[in-house]
Amino acid sequence: MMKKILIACGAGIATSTVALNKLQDALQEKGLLNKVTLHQTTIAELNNKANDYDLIVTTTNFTKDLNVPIVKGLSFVTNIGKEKTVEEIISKLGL
Amino acid sequence: MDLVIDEELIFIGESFESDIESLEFLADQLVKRNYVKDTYKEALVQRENEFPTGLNFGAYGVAIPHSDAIHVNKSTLGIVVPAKPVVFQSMDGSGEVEVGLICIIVLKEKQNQAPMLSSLMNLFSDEKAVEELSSGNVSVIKKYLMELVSANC
Repeated sequence: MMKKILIACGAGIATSTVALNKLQDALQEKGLLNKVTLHQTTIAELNNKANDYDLIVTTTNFTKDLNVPIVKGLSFVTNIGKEKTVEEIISKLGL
Repeated sequence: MDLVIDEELIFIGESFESDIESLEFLADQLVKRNYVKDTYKEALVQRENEFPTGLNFGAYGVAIPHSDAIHVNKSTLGIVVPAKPVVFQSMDGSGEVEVGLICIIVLKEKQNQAPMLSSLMNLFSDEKAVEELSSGNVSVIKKYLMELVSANC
């Protein structure tokens, strides 16, 4: 079954867009893109939406405990440590 | 895409005592030129306090303040190269970032921005490019921004 990833940032415009695109590229390179669907939202909507997803990636400092694993995705924006974040996402999803 | 690069929104050498002060300055400039509504300033400051936009690239820091599309009339990008570094908070909560380049992203629509935003972030993660942008040369900055827009819109 496809894993659903939700990517969130403050306004839901800038950094989540970048993170989504970079993650998409990285997963495609690894031949895993067909195993996931990627979605975007704002931090404010995370509480409402989280349970519909298998993994959350945020570019901000979101520290609440949700029932879904959360991965810090700022590395997609800065390009620093991106590979590690991708590995973390893949491993947390069991891909 | 309808995004205009306005030379008047490139500010070199202004001094700011705080991140909020730089944002208030930028908001005033944008309101004055009708890029944004009167509600923008408060929204921008509030957003920065709640979800800071400082990015720590290691050797340097860049800030990408922005607010919701609902306060925007016309899309544009503004650049501030401050006289001295301004302390912003890091986006991921890891602390303070000394910012030498502020790029305010003013978007009227959320859609269709992915390529431009990705290119913008790639630009900021390029140390050489940031050095050139921070040199304070308006035509160099304008050239970078125009190239970015024409390549992605």
